[in-house]
Amino acid sequence: MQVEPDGRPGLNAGHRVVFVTGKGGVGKSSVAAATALQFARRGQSVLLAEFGNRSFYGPFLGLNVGNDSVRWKPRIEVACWDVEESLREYVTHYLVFKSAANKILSNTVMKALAGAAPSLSEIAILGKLMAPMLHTWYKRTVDVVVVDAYATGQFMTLLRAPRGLSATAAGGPLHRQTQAITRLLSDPKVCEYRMVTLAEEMPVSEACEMFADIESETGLQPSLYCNRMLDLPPVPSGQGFVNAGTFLDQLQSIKTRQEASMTRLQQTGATQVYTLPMLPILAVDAMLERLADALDLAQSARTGPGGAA
Amino acid sequence: MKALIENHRVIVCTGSGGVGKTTLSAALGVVAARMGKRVLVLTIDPARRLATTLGIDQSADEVRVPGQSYTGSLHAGMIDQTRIFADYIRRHAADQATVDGLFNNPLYQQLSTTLSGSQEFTSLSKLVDTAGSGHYDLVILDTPPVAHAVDFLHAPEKLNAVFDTAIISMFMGRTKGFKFASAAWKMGVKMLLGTLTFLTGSQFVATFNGFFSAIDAIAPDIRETNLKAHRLLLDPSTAFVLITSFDQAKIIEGEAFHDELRHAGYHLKKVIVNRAWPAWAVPGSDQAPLTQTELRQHGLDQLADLHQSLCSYYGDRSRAHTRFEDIVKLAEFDDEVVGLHALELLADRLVQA
Repeated sequence: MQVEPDGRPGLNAGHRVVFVTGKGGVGKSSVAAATALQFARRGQSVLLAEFGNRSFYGPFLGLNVGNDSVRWKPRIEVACWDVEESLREYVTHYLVFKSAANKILSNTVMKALAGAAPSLSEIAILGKLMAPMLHTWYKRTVDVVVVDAYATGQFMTLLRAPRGLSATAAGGPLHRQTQAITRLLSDPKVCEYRMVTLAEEMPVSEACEMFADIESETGLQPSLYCNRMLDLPPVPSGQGFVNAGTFLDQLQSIKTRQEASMTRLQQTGATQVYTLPMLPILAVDAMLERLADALDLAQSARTGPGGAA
Repeated sequence: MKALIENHRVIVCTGSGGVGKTTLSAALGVVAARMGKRVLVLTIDPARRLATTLGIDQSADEVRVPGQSYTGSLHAGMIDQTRIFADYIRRHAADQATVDGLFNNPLYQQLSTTLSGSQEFTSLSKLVDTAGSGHYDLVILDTPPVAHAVDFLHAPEKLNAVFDTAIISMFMGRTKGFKFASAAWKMGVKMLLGTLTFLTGSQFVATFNGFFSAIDAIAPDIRETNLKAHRLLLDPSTAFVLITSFDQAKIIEGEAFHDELRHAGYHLKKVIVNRAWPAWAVPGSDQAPLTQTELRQHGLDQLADLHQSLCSYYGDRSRAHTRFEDIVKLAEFDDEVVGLHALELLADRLVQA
């Protein structure tokens, strides 16, 4: 067990982790997949990772996604890390008699362990994610891991787990490791946080709250992406229109909502607030490519205050 | 929709987060109350305005929704996880010291709040209680928000694992209760606990032991409730409703859920696709071409093009193939549903759709 005592990155310098999070239903997973495309287009090799025992990307991208990585596109692999499996990998690494251990660490026991000590499974997941930066023995060949992270509340639980556990578990390798993970999560050279939201009241409120939470937990500012925005020219009032009235009135209210949402997002003090367009495209691949275009475009031309339109 | 309400005593509204499940559950409650039912809508963590509308913003007790005049009556209740777990503990704890000790245990705090499966468990516990209370003709359960609709079905397993007798015994260092308590197994357990102590420091494992000894007392009751809930969910008088949206991702996920429900023997009676299209883009309506013509007559070509592209998108989306059978498609409501009147309008649309 070669835990680097201070867990400094540098073993695998340049290995980066991009967390994509947001409230359910805002298009977080699509943005994460498009982020993976974005890095791959720049020539970097990417692992698109999700957590849990049910893959979203499998059916979405038409792949057979499991714990081991599968190829999606040139330079992009996808994996769905099972939490119990990661915990088992983690615990067995420290056990001397691995074959005996595997018998005891049955699925039920792992479930119980993960269930009873949730922060332990978050540590296992984060430990696996950060492994190339923590251990010399861990090899991962990709440049970037894009994480389709948990939605809002659960994501904060994940981020807070190492700090919480390092307080309860004093001493031992776990203590050292949680401290190293905490440092990595706050290191701008290693981690980047992207938060996706929609121009609607509830998602924006949640995004603002979470922006502050991530910033106070890690010291890093997430970049904010307001998704599914309509690029609207000036919209006249629907009054006096026989047929187009409802449409125009709704566009006006969308426009107002978009502007108000952007203003609220800017008010968080975030330096990176971007818009992503509503893409009326059913085909998944084409939609993701366009979304990746939009991500590039958004970053190259930042929107000003109230730049919803 | 009427048959759904008439023929069932429990309706479980499932679906992943962000599809408007809570609002639709409440609207379904309005439909039932109008039909003369005494109906209870059970919800977890509703949006503030909805909670105010339902009268449950102050307390978790079941209340009669204010401002109603229905043939039946509409009631609402919130699921208070911490309180439900505390009730289990109080029923079984030997003395107050045990109760206090457990409430202060960090693992217990996780159990009663964030532990996966515990929200589902408390929901089902409350469902079993209220459905069997005789106070209501119909109980509508709005299930906890999950990433995937299917997670709801697997939640009890996860919690059961924690309350597994053998595992509790293992962590308590007890050998009774093991069916195959071989020497090798015992040694293995010792080794695992040793490793955990090494990994986490002794404090942590002590917390573990304290927690498992305490929940040992409530484990049979928890399992009993899970069993009752399972029977209730499988009963033909319990209907599942899947609430979804038309996103490609949600549809794929919904179909998987659909198959899994069928496979497990639950009764999926209705699929509601929420926000299927905006009111101005109803597929196949003759309003769309008229709107575009009028926009062009006013020189608003850019808006006409936008209308056209969005209408064709929503049209294609509504025609996309799904395996769903009994499907209800609802247009998008333009504004947030605020107040009982807005819920009633939504109820109208549910019945008409």
